[in-house]
Amino acid sequence: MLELNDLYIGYHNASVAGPVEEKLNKGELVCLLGPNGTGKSTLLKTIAGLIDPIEGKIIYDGTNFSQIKPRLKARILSVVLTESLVIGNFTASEIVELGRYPYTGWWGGKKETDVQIAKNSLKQTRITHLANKPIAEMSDGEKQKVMIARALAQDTDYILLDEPTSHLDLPSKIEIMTLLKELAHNWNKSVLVSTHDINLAIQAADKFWLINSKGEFFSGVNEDLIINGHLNQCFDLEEKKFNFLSGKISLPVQVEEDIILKGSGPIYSWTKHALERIGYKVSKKSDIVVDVDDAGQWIVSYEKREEQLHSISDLLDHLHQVTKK
Amino acid sequence: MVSDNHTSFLFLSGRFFFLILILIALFNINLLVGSVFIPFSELWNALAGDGGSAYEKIIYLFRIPKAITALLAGSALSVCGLLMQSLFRNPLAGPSVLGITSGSSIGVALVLLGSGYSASNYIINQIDIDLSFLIFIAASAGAAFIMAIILIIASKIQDNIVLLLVGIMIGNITLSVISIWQYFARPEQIQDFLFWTLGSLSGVSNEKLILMLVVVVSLVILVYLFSNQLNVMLTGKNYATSMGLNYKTNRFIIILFTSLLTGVVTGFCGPIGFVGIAVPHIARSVFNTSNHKILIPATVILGSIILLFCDLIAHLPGSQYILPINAVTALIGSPIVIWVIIRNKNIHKAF
Repeated sequence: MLELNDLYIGYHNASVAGPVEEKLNKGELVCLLGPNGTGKSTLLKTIAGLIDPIEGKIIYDGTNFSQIKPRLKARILSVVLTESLVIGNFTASEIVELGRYPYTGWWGGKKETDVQIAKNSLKQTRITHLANKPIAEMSDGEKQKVMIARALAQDTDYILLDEPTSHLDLPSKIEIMTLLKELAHNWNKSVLVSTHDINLAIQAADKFWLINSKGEFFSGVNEDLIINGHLNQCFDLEEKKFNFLSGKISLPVQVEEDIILKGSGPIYSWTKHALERIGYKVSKKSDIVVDVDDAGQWIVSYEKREEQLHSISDLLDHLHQVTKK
Repeated sequence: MVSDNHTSFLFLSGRFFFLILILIALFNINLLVGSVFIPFSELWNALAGDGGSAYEKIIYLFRIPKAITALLAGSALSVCGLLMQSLFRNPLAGPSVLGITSGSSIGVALVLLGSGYSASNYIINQIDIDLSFLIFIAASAGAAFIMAIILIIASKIQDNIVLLLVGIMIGNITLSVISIWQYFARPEQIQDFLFWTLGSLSGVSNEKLILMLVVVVSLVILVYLFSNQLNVMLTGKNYATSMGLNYKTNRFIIILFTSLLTGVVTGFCGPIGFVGIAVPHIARSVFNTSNHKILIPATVILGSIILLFCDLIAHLPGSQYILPINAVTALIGSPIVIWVIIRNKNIHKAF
């Protein structure tokens, strides 16, 4: 177990956040959230021992983590950072094999087990097909996965990742979060990941760590932090933007008019989506009635006139005309 | 293990074999070609040692020491370039960038320009020591002096790019100190110093050659023993530390090796530019790798080849003139760097 004891973090003796009083447990995926510049990266680097804490200690199984020898430390904790790699001529498997550094001798000669572990790491991150591809020819998402695979090859109980999903497209974000969840739940690792994807974090994390703009630290189960308002307060989210029921953050829309919407299925929900986007609120009392049928037809009744429409585009145009919005 | 063409045993040994053939050929050509052409048959006679012909004297006294000097200087400077580029993770780093070559220059200036003052004059005239040996000592001391300054700054500054800029600035300060010095020196002294700054491979005679051989060979072997650490260092300070590498210690060792290698070569041969920065790039594109276990022997061989080739051109075969080696390395080195950048579109890919 890795315990953070009354930890204050920062650079050049100036504390940016603290006190942090928490522990990392095996088998848990923890998401570290907070606005930009609150010290998420600093916290990760401090735990990893890359930066000294301003105050406080990190305790690993009863001993001060900073006093453990570098090679032994590297067998306990691995990191994936935001810094970019400049080693274009290394292939994925060469990078991943570097993760075996704390286990191999001076010359870095690899035994069969080392090679096998590196191979398994590539397999776990689903990038076996990239094994011989040079880093320079990879996309950002592929590079990110290579660095995660390298951390896996380091075979540590604790993995810290600094915004591994930034710069990635949505499917890759989901894929990486799923992988991290798997690592925690199926492989009993302790995964701490900083991210800006609140929506994704709410779904994936077992626990949240929050740092707000004042540098205060909160932690707890995602849902608890939403209910007690800590998440909202941390990001200065108003109720309008943060949907309590779905747990989603949405763009602010000024509601101007009520509308009645009838129907079912996906066409119904997407119609609702479109109406809400342009400022309608679906309710039970209104002069405007939109009837959706499964065949993809929209019937609008307004002031005793009825109009049949065949796409959401036409529907929105029609509503715009009749209500002169 | 890795079944890819680019790193297969056959690919590697094939390329190394080919390069060694070129190296042997160039070494032999360098023995034959110069202001006097030596027929190939005479080379065999001379090496077999029958008869004290004029050819034999030329080969043993001039051509072989010069070719071996080229071999040593070329490999040492190239390895320095590789070390600096890996340490700073900057493809434009070279041994001269940290100001270490300039440090050597200060040492040499101290001897050549300072001899105008009575005290230094006394030392050079009265003490029975070869002037160029004194220059070597001064050059190494100068390199070590700048290295000490850089190391003090490096312990305070964690950022490699900032350290690189500091190195450039220290190099500038050193050069301006030398310029001021030159301004007050006597014309003959300036001429001596200018000749040294042009670089030469022919000033290294027997005992000095043995010293240079021992220093360069042992340092290159030591550097090779750090291949694994260098590979990990390529991922950057934070990643390397997180993988259990003692970054500060390893960085100190790399800077130390670089300073000693630069000092030795610069002291004996003058400040030879562009070999250090160009050769690692050629090695990377020939072998398609960033792995130091391959790159270090590759830069040794390629550095030797490049400097032997430059020396061949410097002698303008058939003429009585010899061009300064520094001019030739710049003339050949710079287009190579440009070619590497263009070929890879992006210098980071070359890295």
